[in-house]
Amino acid sequence: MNVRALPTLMLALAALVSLLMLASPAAAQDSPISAEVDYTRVALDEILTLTVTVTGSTAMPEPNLPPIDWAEIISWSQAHQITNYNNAIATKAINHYRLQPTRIGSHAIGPISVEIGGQTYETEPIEVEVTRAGTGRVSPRPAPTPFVIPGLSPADVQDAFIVSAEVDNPSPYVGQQVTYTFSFLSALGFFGRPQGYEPPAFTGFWHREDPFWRDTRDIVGTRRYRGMEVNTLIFPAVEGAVTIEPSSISVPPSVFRRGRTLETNPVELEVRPLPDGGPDDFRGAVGDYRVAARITSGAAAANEPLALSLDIAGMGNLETLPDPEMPEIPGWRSFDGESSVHTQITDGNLTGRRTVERVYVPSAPGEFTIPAIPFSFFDPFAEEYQTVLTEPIPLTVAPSSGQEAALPPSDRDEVERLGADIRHIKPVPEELRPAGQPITGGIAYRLGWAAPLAAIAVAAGLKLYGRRQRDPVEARRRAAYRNAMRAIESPGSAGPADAAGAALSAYLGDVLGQGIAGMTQAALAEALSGHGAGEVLAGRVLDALSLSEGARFAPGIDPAGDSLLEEVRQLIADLEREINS
Amino acid sequence: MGALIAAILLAALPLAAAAQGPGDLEAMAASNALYEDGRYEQAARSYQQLADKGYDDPALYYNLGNAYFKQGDLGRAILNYLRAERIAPRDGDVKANLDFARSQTLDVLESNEAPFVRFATGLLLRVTIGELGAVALALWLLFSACLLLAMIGPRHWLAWARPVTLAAAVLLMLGGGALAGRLYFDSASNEAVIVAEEVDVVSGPGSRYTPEFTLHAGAETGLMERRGAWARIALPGGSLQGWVPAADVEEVEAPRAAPSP
Repeated sequence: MNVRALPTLMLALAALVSLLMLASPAAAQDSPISAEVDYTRVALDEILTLTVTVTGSTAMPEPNLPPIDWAEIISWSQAHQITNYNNAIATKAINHYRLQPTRIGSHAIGPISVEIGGQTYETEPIEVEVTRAGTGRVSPRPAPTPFVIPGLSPADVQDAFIVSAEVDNPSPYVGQQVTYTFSFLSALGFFGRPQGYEPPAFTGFWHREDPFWRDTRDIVGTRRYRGMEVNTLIFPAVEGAVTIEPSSISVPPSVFRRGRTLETNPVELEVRPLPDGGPDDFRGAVGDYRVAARITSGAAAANEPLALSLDIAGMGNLETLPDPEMPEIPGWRSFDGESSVHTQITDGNLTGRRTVERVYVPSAPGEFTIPAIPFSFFDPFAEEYQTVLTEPIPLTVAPSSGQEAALPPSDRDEVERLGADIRHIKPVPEELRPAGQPITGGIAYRLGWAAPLAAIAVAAGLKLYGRRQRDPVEARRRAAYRNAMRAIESPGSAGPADAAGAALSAYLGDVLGQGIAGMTQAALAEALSGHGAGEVLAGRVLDALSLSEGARFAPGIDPAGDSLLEEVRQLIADLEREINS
Repeated sequence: MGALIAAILLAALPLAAAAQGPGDLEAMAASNALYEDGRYEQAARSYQQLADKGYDDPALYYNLGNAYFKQGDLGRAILNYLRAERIAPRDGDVKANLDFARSQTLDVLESNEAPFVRFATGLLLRVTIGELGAVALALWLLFSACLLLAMIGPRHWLAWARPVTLAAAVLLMLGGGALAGRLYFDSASNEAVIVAEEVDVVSGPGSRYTPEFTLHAGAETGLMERRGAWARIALPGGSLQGWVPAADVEEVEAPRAAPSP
């Protein structure tokens, strides 16, 4: 090859590739939206499913449904599929509408539109005939819609990656095993087990933590796929409609493609409740089990422990299986022993064995029989409750070592009330209590309260009298106010001013403990001050005495009169208050 | 002083005790024999005759309650257990049988008293008026004695007489308060029991009035008044009240007279 011709050849090759690239969109001019129904003729009591598929390379807008007045849309669901083919990304949104016809007749589902990249695409109308209830269906048998990756011709394109999720039983019973399968298929060659699998949270389920994997091969259309399945065993814990969230997987990048994350559709289940009418000992076990009891350890001797093991083996959620009620043997003490569970996955089912142990201590030697132990469960396949029994275990309990004379069997037990009745009558008392007033109503009782009160009053009176007898000055002082008031109230033949002066002089004499006749005004003021009277009060006393004397020595002039008497009354009251305070 | 207290307490005992005849004890024994023989109706009649003679004995009321209970007369059984409980409030047998009989009644009657009031009332009802009265009187005598000694005794006695008097005063206030509370409770109490098997409580004293609710034997109510052949009752809390035939309800604390010699 001529080296100088190489650039020309390269340019020609580039032009050829460019032409190929430009030609691709022309090949992809098919409408990105398609619609189909599962039946073109349905009865009124049937459900019609309308599937609208939108493909493209970007986020999928929701299709616009025309008004449908002859049916009611009772549900809608959407699933997404992402395909990577040689770095060309294609997405597919599959919308399922469930229609409940409401009118008989020939109807049409008008064009369904979607707007992608500023351009509006529409489907062709779909004819549907609705017949009366009870008539048959007619399927349109539509041709499958090709899945188009933009930039590639439909003939060349198959999905490069396919992810999906499903369950093996969409309507299980509560507690019944369900297998959740995540499937990953690759048309680009199998590259080993991807590490980026993210399982859903399994909200509303108990699930086993260690899923089991399986390599798969498949042919879809004309392409061969290799991939794997991840199976997780789940057990519904709640009743009703439950949705398992989408799971996802990360495809690592390589030389030929970008890394990306693919997500499955959510999976919906309708969990059925267990039927009524379970046995009394039913504690929620669901599956298929068998039981066996055995003495596992210990000697069958009095006062020595022996262990009874109950094995529950079979298929079901053994890890959360409730323990059965172990028998109680009269006269034997019993204690909880160890429990263990061993499970494995056999043919896709959780199987294994759960062992419950109870330790017994026989109290006395003798012949005993450990009774059959029942275990009830719900068999979801037979859809009925079943009860299985262990075999009774005959047992000879020997005397304990060192116990030559066997102790009598212990009958200690909780006291159980068998009946209830009133307590029995009382015997005849030594004497019958007669009716009558209570003790508090008797005269003697009241005297018991009154006598001490009288004694206290007498004692107080005697004490007061004795105190006065011992201190005449004090007695005069205590009586001074009363005597002065009495003299003012009854002035007698003397004039008011004279009576006022006499009363005040007598009061002062009693209070001060000495007569005031002959005392100077200064001495009187000093004596009053010594007994607590203030200057103002002392001044009022001196003024009152002066007015009284003036009236007495000048009888023709009695300017004070009754007002002086009133002033002296007030003055004595003030003195009494001030001196005593 | 101790001798004085004892003399006063002895003098305060009901003088009517002397009126009891030996025949009454024999009648009580005969009643018990009838009961043991399963002849509850005759036993109840015999017990009732003794009670009607004026005896107020807890054993008598208790046995009478038992005899009525065995006949299925729940109302009169509860009535007599309540009478026994008033006299012997701490008797375990009385309480057990009263509780058992109450558990058989058909009407649920809830008291709306405050918890503290219910607690205090329950404490007060654990003792009789006689017991409370004796305690209060003893405290009063102690207080009076201390006070008298402080007043008229030698001056050096004051050192111990003052604190003892103060302590006695505090105890006296507690005892006196309890006695006053119990006396008030007894004077204000109008407890009664429905003795008819079923009775319609009507809105007025007559059968022509509207029935408002129905009570059954053993329902414990308050008796508010009697008017002719009708009695006005009120349920605990006072929210429901009405009239019933007077023969269908009996007071727990009926006025009694001492037995005649």
